[in-house]
Amino acid sequence: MKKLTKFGIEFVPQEAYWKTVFYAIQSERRGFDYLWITDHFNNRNVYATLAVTAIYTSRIRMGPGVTNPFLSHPVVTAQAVASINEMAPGRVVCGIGAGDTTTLKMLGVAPRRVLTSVKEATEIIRKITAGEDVQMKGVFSVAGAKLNFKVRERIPIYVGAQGPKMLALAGAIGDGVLINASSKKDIEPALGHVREGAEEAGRKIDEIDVAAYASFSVDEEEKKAIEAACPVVAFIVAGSPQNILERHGIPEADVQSIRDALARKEWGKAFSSVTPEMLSAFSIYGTPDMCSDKISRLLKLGVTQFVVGSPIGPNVRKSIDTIGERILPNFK
Amino acid sequence: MSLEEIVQEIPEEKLEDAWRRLVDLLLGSSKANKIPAEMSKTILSHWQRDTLKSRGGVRQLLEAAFYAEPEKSVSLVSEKLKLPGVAEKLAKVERR
Repeated sequence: MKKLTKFGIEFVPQEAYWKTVFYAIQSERRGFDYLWITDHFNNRNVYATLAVTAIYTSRIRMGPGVTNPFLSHPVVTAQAVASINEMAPGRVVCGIGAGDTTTLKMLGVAPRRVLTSVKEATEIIRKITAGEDVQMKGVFSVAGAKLNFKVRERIPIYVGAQGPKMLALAGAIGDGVLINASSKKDIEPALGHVREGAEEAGRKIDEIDVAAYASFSVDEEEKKAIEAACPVVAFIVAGSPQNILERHGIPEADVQSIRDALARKEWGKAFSSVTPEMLSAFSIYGTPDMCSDKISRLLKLGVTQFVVGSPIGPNVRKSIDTIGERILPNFK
Repeated sequence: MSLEEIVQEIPEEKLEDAWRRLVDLLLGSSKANKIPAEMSKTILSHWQRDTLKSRGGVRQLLEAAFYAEPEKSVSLVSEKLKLPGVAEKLAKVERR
């Protein structure tokens, strides 16, 4: 198996803060390198979660995975990650992307000029955290913004990307790219776009940490791993664009039945409508050996960081232990 | 009988099983927000130092479990840890 240097783990801070911090401490202990906390207004605040996590950990790198430039001004995001860096020097990263349209819509935010916004936000965050005085007149207007404190370490910026243009932008400007994908059919073309963007900007893809941000579910019993994966996959399927569904040969009628069931809050029906094809397309699931094989296949494509995403497993604590004991040693 | 005294009655060899089961009860509970803020910080400190499996750690977990899931805590001690005598004493603490 190809040796991978980096493993990340994603948490959605939707429960009491201490649970996320508990899992973060455990993840560090079990050998994970990166911790990504999602950023949605209706969950616990990402930076509050990161701040506490920074205090209780000492090695793992961490950051929002991902924030967006539409709810928080990039200068405020820069201030937040710079502040976390004081608590966890040299361990902070910043993931930024287009944002989740469903939650943005709830706030009346209709993202415009998404690519330009992410590009400008990246530049602003990078300059502000480097101690520079920022001037910009674009989507964002910044006139001489500067922090009153020094950020001693560089904060790498990862661009969360799915579409071809955002992937190319990530290749052009990102220290890393976070690709929401679990299968070769999605990762391979995505890497092509990242490479193109990098080369157009005079960079090499080797300079970019390519992270596959995958829905993941592991258990010693495959059946239990599948049961845990189905709810997450149902939501992924329901929210996937037509071209992605076609790429995986998932029939429109099957997708519609899940969308309808979710809309009616018929969770059991929605989750039981997830097919094996959907599971394979949108998650990495199964026993530790099965998961290791699937991760290994992604690495061969050029992925340099594998991010274990929700649901992680039927029992998150046990699954983190399983990953640490049975999966990570295959790659580190 | 205090919680400290009751925890003393958990045999040493059951502490490992006890902390794992109690932690899973708490992590899986939708009522974890009932745990006082200071107590959750103490649990995190124990976890950070990897001392949840100590008698002091188990005591903290048991107390937290009492806030979030009092009935399940008693049945966990009785049925999963197979310590019905300890569970009986715990149930009396709960009633106070």
